[in-house]
Amino acid sequence: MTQPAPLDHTPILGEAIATAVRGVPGVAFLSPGLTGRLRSVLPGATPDRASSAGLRINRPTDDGPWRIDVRIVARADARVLDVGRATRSAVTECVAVADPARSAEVSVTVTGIV
Amino acid sequence: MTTRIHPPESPHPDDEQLPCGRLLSVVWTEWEEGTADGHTATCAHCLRATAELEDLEAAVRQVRDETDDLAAYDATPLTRRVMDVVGLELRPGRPLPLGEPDEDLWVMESVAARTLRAAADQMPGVRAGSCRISPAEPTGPDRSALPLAAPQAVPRVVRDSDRIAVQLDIRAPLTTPDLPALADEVRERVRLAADGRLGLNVVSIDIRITDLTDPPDDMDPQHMDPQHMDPQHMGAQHTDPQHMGPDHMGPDHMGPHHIGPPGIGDHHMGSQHMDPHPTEPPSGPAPTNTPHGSGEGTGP
Repeated sequence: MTQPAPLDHTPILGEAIATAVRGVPGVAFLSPGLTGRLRSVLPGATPDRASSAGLRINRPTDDGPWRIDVRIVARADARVLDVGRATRSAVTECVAVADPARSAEVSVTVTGIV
Repeated sequence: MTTRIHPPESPHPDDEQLPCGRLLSVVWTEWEEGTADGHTATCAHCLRATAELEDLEAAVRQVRDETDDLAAYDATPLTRRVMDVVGLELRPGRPLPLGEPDEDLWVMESVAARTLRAAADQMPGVRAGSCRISPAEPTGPDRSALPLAAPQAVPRVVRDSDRIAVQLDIRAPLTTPDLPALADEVRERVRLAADGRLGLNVVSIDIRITDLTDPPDDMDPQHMDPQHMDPQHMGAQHTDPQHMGPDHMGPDHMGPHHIGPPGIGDHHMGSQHMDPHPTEPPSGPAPTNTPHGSGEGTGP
């Protein structure tokens, strides 16, 4: 099985983006991945709010922009569109600070409301 | 023409990429086979991923150990929950566009449908059923027809519209004096929720009354008559019929008003059945899905 080579900036950028997204008002947490969802069906399970499975970062070409796909669960007391926009802005600003030489294409999907 | 691009296609759409860049499936496989390299042994993300797998295995062992008679153990409920989770992960429904076309913002249809159904349920005696939400004028392929594909796996689809159409089935109280007015009120509540809670650009809301049910015992009869409803409570200050498109606001879009014979039909649905498909046998179950609805993630 093959897998993409780790990108130089990916771990650092991923941590920074995950932190930024979690700090956005109206964001409950990043969407859990398959393991988090499976664990949630077990008795006594608690949501894994520290998971960053809802974050995908790719850089198709060396000189191209970052492609960042963010999946979030929003809080019920916030307007979904506003949360999505705030998340997108936070990610864009985060990339501008972490890697100012490269732009970012950011996609935000709200996968749940709690 | 403005365009909207669906979430970026990942080269490994069904896999989870850890922040370090490695794929979850590879990390798990190498850990199980004992072939993990030095990176996995020191990387916090890979270690966390393997710890999660160990947690899952421990949970499975615990269930097995706590079951005295494995042959008599009914694993059906747990299996159902696990398969529900896997199904949701693999096929979470389709994303609906939010905001402006170039913003690349999305909300999953099942999430939006839950919000809109809840808005309809706030009407006394009204119970929402199937809710289908779709782009009003899609130009790309219907994503709901794609089998077992995560959103990232779908090729980019260009849309020239972010306008959304809603089709909602409801059950109404049998004693409702004015069904068209009730449908209008439900439509207004749905519109307010779509705008105020979600931010969807909804251009049409079709309400289909699929059944008439006995009203709750504690229901105030006045609340069944939309003429007596308080417009402030209903949020009518935000009403903008022009925005909704008058062609879709009229009672004609409630669906056909064919009331079947009383006492026939599903006992859980009330004593009188409003059949939107008069050609169907009157004794069949009340329709809960729109003719084109996938029903996925949008049922009650």
